[in-house]
Amino acid sequence: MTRRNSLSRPAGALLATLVLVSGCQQPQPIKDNTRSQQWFTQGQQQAQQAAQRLSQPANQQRAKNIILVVGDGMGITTHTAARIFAGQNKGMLGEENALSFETLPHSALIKTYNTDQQTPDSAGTMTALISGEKTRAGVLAVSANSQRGHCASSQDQQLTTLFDLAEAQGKATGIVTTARITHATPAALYAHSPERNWESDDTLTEEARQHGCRDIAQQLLDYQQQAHRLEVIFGGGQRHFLPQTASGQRRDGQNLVERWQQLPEHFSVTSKQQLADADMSAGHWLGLFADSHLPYIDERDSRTPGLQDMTKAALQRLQHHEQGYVLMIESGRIDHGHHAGSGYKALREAEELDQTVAWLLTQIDLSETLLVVTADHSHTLTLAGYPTRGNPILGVVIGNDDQGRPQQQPFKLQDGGYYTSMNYRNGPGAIDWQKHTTRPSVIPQQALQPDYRQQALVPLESETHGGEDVALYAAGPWAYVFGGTMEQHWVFHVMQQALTADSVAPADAIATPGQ
Amino acid sequence: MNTLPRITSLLLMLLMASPGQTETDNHQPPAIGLQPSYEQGQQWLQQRLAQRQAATANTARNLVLFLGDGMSVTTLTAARILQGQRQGLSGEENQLSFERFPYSALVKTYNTNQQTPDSAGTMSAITTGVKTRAGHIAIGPEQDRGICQGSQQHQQQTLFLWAHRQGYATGIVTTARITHATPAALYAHSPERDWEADSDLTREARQHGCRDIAWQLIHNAFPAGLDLAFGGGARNFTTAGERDSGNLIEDWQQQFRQGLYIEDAQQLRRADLQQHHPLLGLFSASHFHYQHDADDSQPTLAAMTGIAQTYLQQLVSRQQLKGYLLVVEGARIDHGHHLGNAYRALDETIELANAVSRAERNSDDATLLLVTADHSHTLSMAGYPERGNAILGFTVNSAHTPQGPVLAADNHPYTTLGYANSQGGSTHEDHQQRQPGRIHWHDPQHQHTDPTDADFYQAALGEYTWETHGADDVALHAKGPGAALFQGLIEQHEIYHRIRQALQEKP
Repeated sequence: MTRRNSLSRPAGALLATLVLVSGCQQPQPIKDNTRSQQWFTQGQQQAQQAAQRLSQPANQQRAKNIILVVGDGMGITTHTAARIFAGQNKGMLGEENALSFETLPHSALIKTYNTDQQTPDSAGTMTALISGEKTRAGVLAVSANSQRGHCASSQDQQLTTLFDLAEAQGKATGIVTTARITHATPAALYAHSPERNWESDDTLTEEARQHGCRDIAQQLLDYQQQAHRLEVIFGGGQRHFLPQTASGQRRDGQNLVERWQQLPEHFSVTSKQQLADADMSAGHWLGLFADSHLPYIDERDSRTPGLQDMTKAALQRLQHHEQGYVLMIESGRIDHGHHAGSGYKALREAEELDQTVAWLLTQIDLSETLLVVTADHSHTLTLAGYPTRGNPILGVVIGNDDQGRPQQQPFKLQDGGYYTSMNYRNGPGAIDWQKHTTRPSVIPQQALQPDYRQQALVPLESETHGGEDVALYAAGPWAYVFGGTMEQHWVFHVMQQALTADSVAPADAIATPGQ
Repeated sequence: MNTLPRITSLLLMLLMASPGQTETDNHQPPAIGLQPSYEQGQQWLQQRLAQRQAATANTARNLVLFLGDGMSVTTLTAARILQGQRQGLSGEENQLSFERFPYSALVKTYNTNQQTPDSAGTMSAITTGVKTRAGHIAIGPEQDRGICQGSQQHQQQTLFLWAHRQGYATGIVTTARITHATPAALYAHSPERDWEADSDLTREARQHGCRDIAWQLIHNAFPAGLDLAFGGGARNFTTAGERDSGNLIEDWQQQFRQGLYIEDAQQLRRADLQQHHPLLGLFSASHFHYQHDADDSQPTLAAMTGIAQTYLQQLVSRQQLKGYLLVVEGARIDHGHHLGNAYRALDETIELANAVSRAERNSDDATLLLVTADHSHTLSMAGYPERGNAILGFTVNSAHTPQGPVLAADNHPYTTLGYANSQGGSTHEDHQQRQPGRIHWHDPQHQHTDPTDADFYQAALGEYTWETHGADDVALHAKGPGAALFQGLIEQHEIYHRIRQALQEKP
């Protein structure tokens, strides 16, 4: 983690010398004056540290805790862009930055497809992550044998989840999300449904009612009345818990928040202050901080907690449980920023996740906690060439001259227009080709505004997910098992191994394929 | 838990287990099922645990480093699907040969002066351990691009030069001109990648004693110990081609009486290579043809890789060398993308995967295999095609729109693959029958072109002659002794240092 500090300090004196030496035409200064020898030494140190880490025995202890962090829609391009964005906000050039979770020692590439979709959705992908098998798009913790939206087909198809496993181990469980807690990613952990959209009873179909499928919010309450019970669940989505008579969406007239409070040792909070004041040493906590999703970071008021506030409270509660815990943290709105064609919003949310995990790393003991950070799927964001080093990540592309020094003016494509390095393939930012014969130029100042939507090619109401692999970073017990290109549902098997380590047959009983 | 679906999926898995298994040999773990079931996950886990258990801290004696030029993460996913679909699978469940490797890292590619890098700066980072500016060939970042004066003092020692001095055999295989940025960074030093022949040199460069890259290959790299170089770019070596003066092939033949200069695939196959040393193979005037467009006169990347590796192995045992370092570039993935033609980019990626398979079969357990890219491209893979939808095709999802491709808000279909920028419909030397795709949405003329056609050009947002690189991280896959050094997010220049660590240099 010293990596980011060792490089790219502005070296003013050196810079001045370079300008003098290179003559009279007043070239633009080079922004990164790290010398060859510094790069070399830094690389050497990293390699030595890696070798040193490898000389330690792999951590094969049973994990006391597991924290699964999901950046919804956080593709690899989002990683790179968010890293530069967060770095530039800290006064760095940006590219040399590393997000907190990118400093974890183990990594893999993850294949995200659903059994019925090349480019997946969040319900199918989260189910894969937490049940150990892939399933269809749109379904929550039911197998691929069920059909989406069809209750009867799903009834015997419920999958055992990571939380079932955790509860069987006597562990506490928790969910933190900036999305509605009934949204696909969090819901897959406590609900089983052939339709992710059945968040409250108003969307249940006749067929679903007939065959006894329950809505997702209802299933959370059901879950709390079984042997397994969540210790914390924080996020948005109040509307699915309240009756229509109380500005909610429930048709059955139930107030599920009140019902939650009536359960033994069950409490609820609705504001940042309440969350901070709550005694998190015991009990089961429901935190609903918004009607729907939590607002985007810049739109939150003082009553709305951030991802880090919620994580802090959740960890406080879970760390009181001596047998350990399993916690899922979702940054749910990276995805929404992308869908809206807003690179700024997506990166801002990713930056919050970066900060949250940075804080988390100061709180947890990685010798007993398996930390896994990944995404459920990607988006169509691309980063085009060839901006100069440190070019604002949201800005129009300013390139380099023949000598590799920054130009004074932005670069124009052949269509005559300026362009941003960030673009989407499709979505609401698409050019209206009925009105334009060529792509309109991007106005440099506009591109930097938070409400700017990046240009896109294909007009769609909502920008789509991307189909390419996502990244996974991990540390802690059994994290050394991650690596290579993995199917998404294999991630569960590593977490299961970590949770149950002693009870699994020794690995050397299997034929050894060698390296 | 319900066991019935588990049993069904186990059966399906067993039924489907064979088609994905295209490469079988002792170095490959047994294939696991293709059905993404719980049992498959358990199978994978047991195999991985056994593999991790067996992994020892052995030092690597040999290295084969594969560079997929411009082979982005999206390219890997799309090429994997295309290869699977060519085998009759849905495609998504397929794995490119190297995607079965036990370790992977993500690599930050930026140059010291560019957010989105070029191949010269990125390959220099890999071959010298020093991140540098775009356009530089093994020159440090202190130097201005294209300026010869002063550049000599910023020359960085290459991995190959280090290897020669340590007693390793070395070889280069590429489908680009051997003087092109990626291969050049293994043996040359130049503040300008474009100085491939002497006719490319500026007056300033000549005045200050900079030599062109082809000259450096013949007069510096081979004399210093390079054992083998296979690629294209013959035109940069003679006055019949691009040179103002000199015939570098003759120079080389005079200098290396035991050497063998090879010009076509047949000669490469038939010659008794072990009787010769060193080897220089220049199989085309410029870059190789794309595999899709090539005839038999051009060796495949896999064939060159196999021959080069065998040659180096025998050289090592004959001369009792420490080991060998072979670098193989799949160069034209990048060019396919630059043209905005995903078909050729993916086809070349599959060929690289074939070359990796070949090397994997040829390698002993002292050989470290690395597969990475120098940089990304702007290819993206949009939603939401159904499972098994032709990767090059229009996006179809029959569950939602059974009557045909999904239509955008303007009632036009769209392809799953596309670029942020690329050329319009004009011709290019590689493609006489260019059939542009929907480059512009307002252009009704090209709407019904078949997107799975090899000459289809994906639609792009911005119009640009040469589609640009992308800035996003690339993947690195690793197998063999020292492979575990390649994990996490790493800076590209660290690849050099991790290789040295794996080879465990003794002070």
